[in-house]
Amino acid sequence: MKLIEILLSTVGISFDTFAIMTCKGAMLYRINKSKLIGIGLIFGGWQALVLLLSNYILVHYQDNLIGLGILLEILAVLIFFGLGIYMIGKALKNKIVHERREEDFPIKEIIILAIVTSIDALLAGIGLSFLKINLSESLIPIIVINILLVILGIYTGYFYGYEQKTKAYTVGGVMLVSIGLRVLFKNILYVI
Amino acid sequence: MLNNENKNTKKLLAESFKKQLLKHPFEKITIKMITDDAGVIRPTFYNYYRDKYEVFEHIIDEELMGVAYALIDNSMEREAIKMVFTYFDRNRFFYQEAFKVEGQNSFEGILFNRITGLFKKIIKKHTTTIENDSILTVENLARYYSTGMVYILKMWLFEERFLKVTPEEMFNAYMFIITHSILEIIHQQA
Repeated sequence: MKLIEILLSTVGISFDTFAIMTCKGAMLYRINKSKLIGIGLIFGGWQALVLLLSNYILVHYQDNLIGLGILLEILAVLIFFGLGIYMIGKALKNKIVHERREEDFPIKEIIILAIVTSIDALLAGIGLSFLKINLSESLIPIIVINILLVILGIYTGYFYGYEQKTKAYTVGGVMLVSIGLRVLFKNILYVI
Repeated sequence: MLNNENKNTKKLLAESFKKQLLKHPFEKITIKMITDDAGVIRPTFYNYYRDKYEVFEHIIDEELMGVAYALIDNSMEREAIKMVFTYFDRNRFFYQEAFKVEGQNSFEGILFNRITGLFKKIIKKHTTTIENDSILTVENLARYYSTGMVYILKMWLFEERFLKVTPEEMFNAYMFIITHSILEIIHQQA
């Protein structure tokens, strides 16, 4: 079922965003609710946009890739394994964050952070396109999930500290590895 | 009343931090750990401190510098310096852990700045014969003596051979060092 891949990849990637936002939330002196929505829209919206765009371009390029067949699925498996292991690696590394009060979360910083961290969304979008999954039908849920996890991440960091990022990386990583395993066993090995 | 409550919360957080440092390495202590132990919600921490390093500064200022400065104001400079040794002896275990905090924001750096301030106050209080010297400024002198004191304190806390030395003995040794030049010591030994 393609819905499972869409859900796992969207939520999996969003957990990376969530983890990053817990670190930012942990530094905030106070939460400005109106600004929070703006941050959610910019950061979450950008992540969703990159995911959707990378998927859209390659899905509509599928005709040129028909001859590659199973190779694309193998590449997709590698992408999701890679992303998942990378996130689990971040969880295991458990990098210590210097918690220091920040009065504000400037828009410029949000934009730079969003761009820098959107590489995994880009790869996930490409991976899903290799599986012939078109995300454009899931546009609204993807955007909503990303925005919600940005806001939730900030609140989590604010009230519970950055330590929660480890759980987020682990869950997100496992989700992404699961997609790889599912594709491997179902589409390539025909075991399930 | 609100001011007292704020002071109490600030002190509570500082006490909690001290307890945490005795149990965990500095880098592993999170703000959540400090606030949980103090019984307040996490965001409360930022109402009083910018980060963990600022808690160090607060502890030294409140527990040591405030009293030391008051002694200096009453022309009790020797007592102020002696108090430093007494204070560090009383809080030995905490400061043994504190000195392990290294790097750009090391505890040693924080202490050095505070002790420098102490010596500056002492020096400025008295007329010196070197006021117009460009090298032997108040700042440079204070930093020189601060370096020595911080070194002595660190050595006293960490070196096994000094573990049984009392604050009184360490203070006397320090006073001997700062009141005698190396040349006097050499000639005395000769």
